[in-house]
Formats: sequence, C-alpha cells, structure tokens
Amino acid sequence: MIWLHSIPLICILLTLLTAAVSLPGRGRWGEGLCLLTAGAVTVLSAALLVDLWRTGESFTFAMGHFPAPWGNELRAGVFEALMAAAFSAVALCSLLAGRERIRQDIAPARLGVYYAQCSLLLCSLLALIYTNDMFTAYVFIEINTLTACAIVVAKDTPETVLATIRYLFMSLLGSGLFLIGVILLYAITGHLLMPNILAAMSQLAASGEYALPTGMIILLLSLGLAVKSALFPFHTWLPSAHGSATTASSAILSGIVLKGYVVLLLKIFYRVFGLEFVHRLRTPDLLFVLGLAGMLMGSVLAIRERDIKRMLAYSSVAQIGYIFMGIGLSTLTGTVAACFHILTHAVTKPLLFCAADGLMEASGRQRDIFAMKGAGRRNLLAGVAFAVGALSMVGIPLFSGFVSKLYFALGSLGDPDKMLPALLMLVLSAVLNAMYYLPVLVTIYMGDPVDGALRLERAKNKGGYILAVGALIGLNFVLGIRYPAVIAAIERGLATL
Amino acid sequence: MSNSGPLLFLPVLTPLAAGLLLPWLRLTGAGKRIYTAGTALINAGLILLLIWGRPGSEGVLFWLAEDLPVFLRLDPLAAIYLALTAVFWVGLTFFSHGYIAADERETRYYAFFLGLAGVLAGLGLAGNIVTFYLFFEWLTFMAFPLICHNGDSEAINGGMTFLIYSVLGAGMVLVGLVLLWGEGPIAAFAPGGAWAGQIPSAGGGRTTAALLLLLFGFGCKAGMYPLHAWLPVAHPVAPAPVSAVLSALLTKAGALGMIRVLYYLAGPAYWRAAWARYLWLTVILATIFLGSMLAFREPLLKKRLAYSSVSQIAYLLFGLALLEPAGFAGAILQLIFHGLAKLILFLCVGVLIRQAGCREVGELKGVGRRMPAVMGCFALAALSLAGVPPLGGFISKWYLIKGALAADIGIFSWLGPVVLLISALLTAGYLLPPVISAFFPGAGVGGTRESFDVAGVTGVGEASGVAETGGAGGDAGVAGAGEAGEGTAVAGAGGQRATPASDWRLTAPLVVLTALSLLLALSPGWLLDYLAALSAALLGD
Repeated sequence: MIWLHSIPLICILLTLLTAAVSLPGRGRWGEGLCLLTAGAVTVLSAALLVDLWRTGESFTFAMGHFPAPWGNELRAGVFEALMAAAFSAVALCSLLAGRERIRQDIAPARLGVYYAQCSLLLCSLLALIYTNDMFTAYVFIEINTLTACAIVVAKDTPETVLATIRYLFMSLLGSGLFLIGVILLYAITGHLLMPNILAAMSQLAASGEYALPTGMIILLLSLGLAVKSALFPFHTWLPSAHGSATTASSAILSGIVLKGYVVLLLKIFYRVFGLEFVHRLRTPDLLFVLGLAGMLMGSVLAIRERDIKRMLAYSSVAQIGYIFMGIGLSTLTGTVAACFHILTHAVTKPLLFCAADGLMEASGRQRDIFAMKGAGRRNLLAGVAFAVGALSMVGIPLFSGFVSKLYFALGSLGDPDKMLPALLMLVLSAVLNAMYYLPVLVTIYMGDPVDGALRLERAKNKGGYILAVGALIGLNFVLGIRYPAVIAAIERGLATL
Repeated sequence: MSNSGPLLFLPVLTPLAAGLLLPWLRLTGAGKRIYTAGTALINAGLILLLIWGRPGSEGVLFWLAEDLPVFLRLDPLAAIYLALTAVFWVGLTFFSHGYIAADERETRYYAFFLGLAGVLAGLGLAGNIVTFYLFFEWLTFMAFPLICHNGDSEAINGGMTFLIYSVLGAGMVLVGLVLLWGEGPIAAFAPGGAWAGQIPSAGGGRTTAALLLLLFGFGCKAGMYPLHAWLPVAHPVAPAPVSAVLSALLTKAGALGMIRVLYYLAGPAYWRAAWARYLWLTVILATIFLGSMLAFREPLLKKRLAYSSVSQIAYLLFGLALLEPAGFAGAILQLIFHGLAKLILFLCVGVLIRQAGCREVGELKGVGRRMPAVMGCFALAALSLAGVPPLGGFISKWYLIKGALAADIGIFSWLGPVVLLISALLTAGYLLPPVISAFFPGAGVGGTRESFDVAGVTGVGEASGVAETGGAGGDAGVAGAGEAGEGTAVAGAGGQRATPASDWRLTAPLVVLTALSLLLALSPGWLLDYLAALSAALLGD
C-alpha cells in the first residue's frame, strides 16, 4: 500500500509537531501528548515493518518529490522499520515507567519543555534511522546531541549540570569529527545522497584513487559516531550523565540514544562505502579491538561501583563494546548479532533502570547498593524486573541476552584470527557480568534492611509503571524465545540495506 | 521422530510448576510439607512408571531453529539418572521437613528445591547437547539460592564462588558448543557417538579443542581439577540437604554431561584416537589424589566430605576415560553408589550439627553412643566409600580397576590402579577414624560439649596415627572461619524450638536411604546386567 510509504515522514513530522505543541504547555498536557505520539509512532512503525516484511521490498521517499541532488530522501526497509518500531516502543515504555519520577525530579514549570525535548529526541532518532542523506544525518545528530543533553540537565542538580557539560563537550567532539568526515566526503565525491556516494565510491575503489582520504573519512565517521555511542575509551562522559539523570532519561539514553548512532554507522557502512570497501580499509578491525576493550573495561569498572545507576551505566559501556565487537567481526552473523544485541540492550537496560528506580524508592531513595537490602521483597515487581534484566545481561537461556551471546559466538567462527579473542572475551565477560549483577540480586532478596522501619513497608506501584515494566519483561522473553523471527527480519533487513 | 511427548515432560514440568506455584499458595507450615512431600512422591512414582512403561519414548519441547529441537528422550542412561533423582528427592524432601527452620525463608527454599528437581530431571532426559546445555545453565540458578539459604555473608560468599565457577564452566561449554556448531549441524545423542564417520579423524584441532572445552566446562560442575575450588567453599555453608544434593546429584550432572559428550556425541572411537585423551586422564588422576589428600588434612567435617567428593567423582571420570566396558560400568556404579554414600554422609553430618553441635572431626568423640542410628548410617556409608566389600563402593572400584587393567592406555593402565589404591587408603584414613572415635571414645570421655572440645584433636590422633593430628591441628584455625554459616543457623533454630535428642523426622529418611543402599549393594546382579547391556551398546563389543 502506497500510503504506508509516507509513514517515515509522518512519524518524523508527528514527533516534531508534538514537540512544538507541548513546548508552551504545562505539565500534564505535554506528558499525555508525548506518550500518545510515542504510542502512535510505535504502531505506525510496526505497521510499516509488517508491510515491508510481507512484501520484502524497500523504498526511498523523496521529500517534496524533488529529485536529487536538490531533494532530500528518506529510505526505509525491514531493518529501518524494525529499529524504528523497537526504539519508539522502548521510548514509550521508559516514559510511562518513569512518569512519576519525572513529576518529582523536574520542576512543574519545565515539564512541558522536558516532554518537548523527549519528542524532539525521538524525532531525531527516527530521522537518523530513516535518512538517506549524509547532511540530514549530520543535522539530526546535532539535534540529538542537544536534546539528549537537555533531558539530562532537566533534573537541575549540580551533579546533572556538571555531567551535562561533560556530555556536551564529548558529544560535540563526536559530531565535529563526523562533520569533517562529511565535508571531505562531499569534496571527493560531490554528493550527499547515500546511493550517489556509493556509486562514486565503487569507482574510487576500483581505480584505487584517493585511498588515503577515503580511509581517513571512514575513520573520522566511525570515530565520531563511536564517541557519541560511548565506545571505550570515549566512554568517560557516560556514567555521570546516565547515572545522574532522571530515570526515564537514563533509560532512553542508554536504551536507544546510544544505539541510534550505531544504526547510522551500519547504514553508512552498507550504503555509503559498501561493505567490501570498508573491510578492505580495515576499520572494522579497529572497532573490534576497541569493542573487546570496552567489554572488559566496562565490566571491570562496573564491579567497582556501589552506586546502582552508575553501575548500570558502566554496564552499558560493556554492552556497547559487544555491539562494536560484533560489527568488527566483519562477518554477516557478527553483524546480525550486533543488531540483535541493539534490540536486546534496548529492552533490557531501560528495564534495569526502571527496576533500579523502584528498588531505590523502596529503600529511602538511596542509590548505594548496600542500602537496598531486602528491597526486592518490598517492591516485588521491581525485584522481578531486576532479576530478569540481570539474568538477561549475564546471558542465561530463555532471556534475550543469551541469544545475543550465542550469535556473537557463532559470528566469530567466520574469522579465524578474531575467533579466539572474541570467544575468550565472551566467556570472561559473562563471568564479569555475573560478578556485578548477581550480588545486587543477592542483596535485594536476601539482605535484611539496615533500617528497621523499612522492614514492613510494601511499595505500591502505579499503573503506568506496572504496564511499562511488564511490557519490557515481556519483550525480553519474546526476544529470548521467539528469536528466530527477529533474526530472520534482521537478516532480510541487512540483505536489502 | 516418534513423539510420545506430554508424559515425558511431566518429570521436568511438574516440579518446576509446583515450585513456581508455591509462593502464591500462601500455605501454612504443615501445608507446605504436605505439598512438597506430595509433589516428590507423585513425581517419583511418575518417573518410575515412565521408566518401567515407556522406555525409549521421546518428545520435543520446542524448536530452537528449524533443524534444532529442544527435546527429551528416555534412554537407559537417562533412566538411571532419573531414578536416582526420584528416589533421592523423596528422602531429601522428608529430611528437609525436619531440618529447614520454619521461618520466612522456608517458602523460598522449597520453591527452588522443587525447581531444582525439575531441572535435574531435564538434564537426565536431554536428548541433544543443546537441550543439555539449556538445563545446565538453569541448574546453576536454581541451586544458587539454596546454597545461600542461610543468608549470612559466609553463605553468600560460598554461593557467589559456586556461581562464578559455574558461569565460567557454562561459558566454556557454550564456546565448545559453538565450535562444534561451526563443523556441522548439532546431532541428537546416539549410543556409540552421533558423529560416526561424519567428522574427520582426530587431527581436527578445532574439534578436539571443542571437546576439551566441553569436558572441562562440565568438569567445572563435577569438581575436576583445576576448577574444583567451589566445592569446599559451597558445601559447608549450604544447609545439609543442599550439600547432599550438590555432592550426590549436581556434581553428577557435570559427569553426565561428559558421558553424553564422549559416548553419545563424539563416540569412543573418536576419543580413543585423540591426543587430548591422555591430557584428560592425567588431570583426572591428579584430581583423585589431590582430593583425597586435601580431605585427609581437613578437620571440618563438611569440608572434608566436599574434598572427598572431588576425589570420588574423579574416580567416575577415570572410569569414563578408560573407554572399556568394565570401566564404564564402574563409572556408572560409582555414580550410583557414591551418590548414595555421600547423600547419607551429608545428611548424617546435618543431624550431627543440628543435634550434637559437632562440626569438626575432633568433636565426634563418643557421639556414636548417644546417636547410634545416625553414626551407624555414617559408618556404613564411610565403609562403602572406602571400598570395603561387600558394600557398594567396593563393586564400583572393582570394576574400575578391572577396566583400567584391560584398557589400552599404556602407562596409565597400571598408574591408574596405583593412584586408586593410594586414594582408597587415604579415604579410609579420613573417614574411618572419626567413626572409630565416635563409637570407641576411649576412657575418660563424658557426654558434654566441653570435653569434646578439649579432647578433640588429640583424641583423633590416638586412633589414626600421627599424620591426622598434625593435619587437624594445623588447619583448625582456617576451618574456624568456614563453619560459621551452619553454626549460626543452628543457634537460631535451637533458640526457637527445642529439638529432641533424636528427631525421627531426620533419622527416619536416613535409615531408609541406608537400607536402600545396602539392599542395592547386596543384590547388584540385575543392575550389573543392565549396565553390561548399556556398555555393550555404547562401546560396541
């Protein structure tokens, strides 16, 4: 159906409009509107996904029907639709689960602004996913940066302000690198639309001209995006930003914002340079090494952390390491595993942040893990949610994390040089993950509260929290048990990318 | 694939569902006991009926991929493990009723206890290596809360050690699995090896590496050197029935995994030609000796038994590594009789800790006179482990040595029996002196705790010679830290309700289990026939 082809544009415009409308409003108005839009975008993206899966096609949508090189194009296939549907669903769940906390953390006068920024953030993520144009990508990267900083600083404590400044600096460095890359790309090829650049690139690849500049461009683009998705050693901004923001912001930032850049990077690899060319320039090898280092260091740093939100943030560093490791394997299965892990982490980390919020609430708003003794018995849902998230991150069968681990391992078989380090690190990383997730489980279930007054308290969860956390738990099991369909969708999406 | 499915799922799903349901039922103390006992009995009946009525049936639980089912199959090996689990579980459930204090942690205990029974049944029934792996991972997370049951820092420490070793082991298994996956589709277990001719000769480095990873990964659970260190940490802190499960069934699950890999996946013919075979044999013999030696030096009772498990399970692995019919039969006999003996020993120690306050070997002096039934069971199990005829341990060791002498493994075919004999002496040295001093304390020993403490170390020395005294004295300080977990539980429970001098709820299951093991050891004919048929099917001659 041809109207379905307008869905990417509709989604982007809808979120943009929501941001504009909810900006002047106060409180509830923006909240309802933002949730409604996120829900609508989820439904629309899912419809698009179903349609594209059924027909097996992909399409480009020229905005205003201006042809290139003047026009601006969106492009959607199974891959893009899948990511858009997953991201908007996760955004919806995060906002729904964190709604109460947002009302407490953020001044009422700023609630409208907060939700406007959230809508704008979703808008920029969708644009990053769907774009077929390098300059559009750059523009929305900047929008993404600013809105992400805004939803961190919205809490307005000294801690968040400091974290935001650090985040802003690192982010701008990342987008700066990306911009230089785009400029050089334009200088060499004279194009900004992805298919046009690809055509020019294949000529360059064949003739061997401009080998050094193209290598530099790939490096600049990859590193720019790596800084923004907190690949080790560019992760330094992440723990304070994710650890100090309000729950919904932490969940959105770690669950989907980090991944938006990875999706863009994959699109650039496939649609701008061509996979063969990228492999020949050996950029994936660099990403592989950094990914391995991230898997190790993220977990090691997380083990040392006693603040639960910062621990989860360091865990994100490790998980991003997994994703880049998978891309760096430069096998199809490795890339599929990386894409699957994007989804796994997108449903798991927000779940963990929301669960941590419930546990903190049941322990007198303390973020120290040792203050949470017995919290899992006081807030049953949060306890179960944390257990599901933790077991998934350790990689236990039936949870989504296991499928990621399995496919990373299978993906590593394709490259004899990278097989051994990848497999070793997968085992080591599982042990390290167990070392920091399971003590938390022990503490929240087995410990007796230090403060006797907490002993008998039973937390009452709000409906939105129950619904959202339940949905995230359900998604985790869907990914863990019904994964063949998801893997098939990713494979088809990558094949048509 | 003939599918007589649903019935076969019951031994796995019934306990799991019962465990999941338990927290929501809000049963009273007596209600919980009836519920768990009922589930254990029904499950045991079901398993025995299935073994009797539906041997060889199979059923697919679900499909992981188009060509990869997660399925269960009731083959002769599964029948042995399942029957063992069923019988043990009934005894353990009744013992737990008397042993586990009735507080808010009781529900959690029984929920995971039931779940563990289901997972163990799943391990026994697993029809291919992927199914086995899935249950193997879940085993860790069902056992973990049970080990940590006491909830103090010692218990959690022990649980975490178990967990980290287990995650490491499972990770190795997964990597091995993935490496095999790269070579071809994952085949269902078949007696004599599913590969039969498909995988090229033993030269394939990747296949050998995969097999070694699988063996060492499973070896982590089975307490194989160098990944045995969790046993002596986890056993002492767990409640007695859980320690018994760890030694009698959970470690055996690792051994079961090895049997499946060697005899049902790679096949004896493949392994016979692989160089890795000798590496594995060396590690096994080292484990046998090391376990016995460490047990000999260890004064804390539960820890001594844990080290003993390290050594005794390596006997089993030795039998597997021989690739001889007699050796295989010996390994399975060891699986059964060591399981029974260690179950009884750990339950005895549980009673001793609960009712006499004895945690160290030296404190046993004279206990036999006050608790003759318990110490009697202890003595019989100890004699069986040491391999005294006509008890079960003797039969298994007889077959092991027979297998070793018949096997074509060069120097190992006499080195193995020598190590087994040395270890048997050590076993007698670490298990019998406590029994002797319990029944014959010598002159001047009264019935009070204080006199045990004073007389402890030297008393044992008189009975067993100089080496025991030195070892026990040297390690006494170290052991003091490890025993705290169980000790506090005793104090807490003792304060709440006065335990009678001899609680029949604890003694009865013990006596019944001991009687069962005696019965089996004295009429082993049918079992030997069964094993002869099984090993003929596996080894093809």
